[in-house]
Order: sequence, then C-alpha cells, then structure tokens
Amino acid sequence: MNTNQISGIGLITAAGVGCEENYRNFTLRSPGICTVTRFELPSAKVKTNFAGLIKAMPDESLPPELLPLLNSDDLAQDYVKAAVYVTAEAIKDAGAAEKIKSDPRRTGLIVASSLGNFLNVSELVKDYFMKELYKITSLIHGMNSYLPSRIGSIFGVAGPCYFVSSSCTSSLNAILQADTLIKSGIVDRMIVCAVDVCLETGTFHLWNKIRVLSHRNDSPQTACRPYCKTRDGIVVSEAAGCFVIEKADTATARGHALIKGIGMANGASDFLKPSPELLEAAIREALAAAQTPSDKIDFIAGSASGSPHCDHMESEAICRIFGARAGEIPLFPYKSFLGSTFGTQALTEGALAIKTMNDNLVPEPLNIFERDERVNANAYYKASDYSSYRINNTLFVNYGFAGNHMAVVLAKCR
Amino acid sequence: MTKPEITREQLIEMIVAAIKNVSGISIPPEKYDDNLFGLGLDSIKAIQVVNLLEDDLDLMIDDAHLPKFTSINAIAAHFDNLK
Repeated sequence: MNTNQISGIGLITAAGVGCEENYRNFTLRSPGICTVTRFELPSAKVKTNFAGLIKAMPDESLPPELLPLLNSDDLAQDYVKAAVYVTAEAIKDAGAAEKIKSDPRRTGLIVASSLGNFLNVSELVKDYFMKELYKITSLIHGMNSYLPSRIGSIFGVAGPCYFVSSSCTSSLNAILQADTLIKSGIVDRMIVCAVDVCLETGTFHLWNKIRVLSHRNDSPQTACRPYCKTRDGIVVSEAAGCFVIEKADTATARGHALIKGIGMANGASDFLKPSPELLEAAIREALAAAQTPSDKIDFIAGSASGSPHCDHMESEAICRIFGARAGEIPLFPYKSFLGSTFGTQALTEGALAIKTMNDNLVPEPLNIFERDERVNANAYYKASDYSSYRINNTLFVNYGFAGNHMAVVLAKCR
Repeated sequence: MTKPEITREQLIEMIVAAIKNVSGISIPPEKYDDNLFGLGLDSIKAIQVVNLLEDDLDLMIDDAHLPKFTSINAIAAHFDNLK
C-alpha cells in the first residue's frame, strides 16, 4: 500500500506565529510560557497563574488574499483566525492551492480539537444567562462542525470535511483518519488542522481545580519538566497546527516526513490516568503497521507532560519494547518547550519532531533538573553525544485524558 | 496549611458528606479505612471531594498530599497531623 507524506506544515504556538518563528525560538530555547495577562485571573483561590497563550492575531497577520473571504464573525474569533492562518501556511508550503482548486472534491479536511470553540461557548453562556442576550450565531459557532465547514469553504475544499476530538490525541486521530481516507482512494490529499485556543478566566479556573497544573509561578518557562524528578504538573498551552497530507509517490512538493504507521489503544478505566499496558500496545501497533522494527527507530518524541504520576510510565513502556536500546535512543518530550497543547499535539509537537529529524539535530534535554530513578529510558542524554547522529525514523508517542493512547512512526523522505 | 478548628468527628462527617455529594455513595463507619477507589470513586470524583473540602474548610490543600488521601480515615489523619 502506498505511503503518505506530510507535504505542508502550518504552526502557531505560544512560542511564535508561523513555522519559522517557532523553529527559531525552539533553537533559542525561548518558549512563550508566561504569567497570564491576556485575561483576568480567577478571583477564587488558584495556585497557578501562568500558561502558554497564543499572541493576539491582528487581521493583518492573515494572508491578504483571504481577508475578503472572512466575515466579521470569523475576524472576531482567534479560534477561527488561528485555524485560517495555519491552514494557509500549510497549503502554501505544500504548493497545494492549485491542486485543490482544480479538483476540490479530491481534497478533504479534518479539524481536530480537544475543547473545540470553548471561548465561544463561554461567551454564549455569559450572554444568555448573565445578560439575557441571545445570538443564534453563538449556537452555530459553538457547533463542532462549524469550523471544518468554514475552513473548507474558505479554502475551496469539497471532499470530506468534519471534526475529530479525542482529548490530547485529537490531531493524531485526525492524521490516522486522513491517512486512511487517502489510502482508501476517496481523496488525493487531506488537510488536517488542529486548534485549541480556549483559555480565559473560567476555563483557566477549571484547569486549576482539576489539580493537574504545575505551580511554579516564579519560573513559568522552566515549569514544564517532563521526566524530571522535580516535576509538579502540566502547563496548559494554546496552539494551532496544520499538516497537508498526500500520496508520497504523486506529490510534487518534497515532503517533510512519511507517515509509516499509526497505532492506537483506547481504554478509559480512569479518565485522567493513562494505562501503561495500552500505551505499550499502541506503540507496538505503530511499529508493526510501519513495518519498522524497533531497532530502526533513531529518535523518540515522548508524550510526557510533567505529570508526577504518569511520566515514568511512558519510560517503562519504552523500556519494555526497546530493551537495552531504550538506554541509547534519545527520548525528548516537546512539551518541555511547548507545554501541553491540548488536542493539537501531533501537529505542534509533530512539526518540531519532524524538524529535528530532517536536521539530524538531537535537542539538548530541556527543564531536566534532577533524574527520576524510575525513568530508565534515555531522557537524560547529552546532545553533544549525538552531534554526528542521523535520524531516519522517529517514534512519536501521544497519550492523554480519556484513555487515549496513540503512536506514529515518521520517516525521513528520501 | 493549618489544622482546621473542628473535631475529628466533624471532619469525618464533612468528608463523608462530600463523598456523598459528588458520587452519591454513602460510606458506613466500618468502611472508613477502605480504599476510596475500591468504594467507587474515580480520580475526577476524588478531586471534586478535595475541592469541596477546600471550600468547606476554607483552606488550600497541597496537591502533593493527594496520593495520601486513600481512605476517609487517611484524609482525617492528614488533617490531624497538621500543626
């Protein structure tokens, strides 16, 4: 069966707008995690006052040729504007605009999000219950089907357009479906867009009350400490990302990466806690689907988030699968830079992991201050030991709330 | 975090009420040492119980202590041990 490739990438995170700014700030180790100033902090007692927030998106930041296609409701919502920006960036990167235009039904679009248009729903509730106002657009824009429909319309996509949500694995789930739709012959290419721009006073209060956040208010940029013994919780971070995916053998653009195989194993015996057994099953399934033996994996993009209760479990799964090689393959968690970007992770962390692979540049571990004796996978390496290292195959691990465990094997395009 | 100014009996009563409130589960005294997850709570309900106790007792509970909150008596003992 043909392999699909990622031909175009678009990216917005707290660290920057656009791929170049994100890559530059990743190299400079300059994340955008900072004390919250965009909205008022909850008046109730909360322990965390920082997060990753995307920068305000002025209308001028959008491609000028798209502005006439956007209405006032689109321009009033950063959720929509972020999706438009990353989709435009990815389509341009892939050189796919003309192909979409020439046969719109052969391109599909999936929007992935963990929380969806939460800010809109929040405004709807406030308008209706506190101000006794009602706007039917609030209802329409709160529907999960709204954004794929709107983005599809703006970019002229007439193939399948729908929304996918599965917590932190939403975008990898969408990539799996896009990969399957192309292989089935229904479409030639898929646009996978993910957006989680969802933080305001109320949602931030709730994240505090779920008791999973880091409390390092005095040092937001070093707060997210995956695999570090001193880790004390996750850092929530808004983001948007987009991949254009198409058949590798017919794509005209040079691809960023090949999608070799995806695995998933679901089970929500506890909503907040992942299962080590299911994570191991998902990784093994990805390796099998990719027909890539574990000894061909050169780099692991870990999913650890800084959770005191979960990170070591990912290391255990990796050690069981890779044996002695688990101590040799560099294991880097991109959340140490980005924070936990909700349902966009496979696109945002994925974009950085692909950049790492294509540059053969193993990043220095970030925010590791003390080794956790329970983490035996190779999370405490020195980048200088990998200065002449080549990365041909990357294992990207992705798990989250709601019992979702996934993994994908990405390979360098030849 | 300082020790709440209520008796252990009042504290246990408060914990039992919080569990009943968030989960509908009534826990009889002979099960005060039983594991809360074994009695039907999950991680989300356990967090809701802790949040309710924070509000009722007007104090902040450090997340690092949560793994110790395995049973009703264990929670009560935690507060007993505060200065």
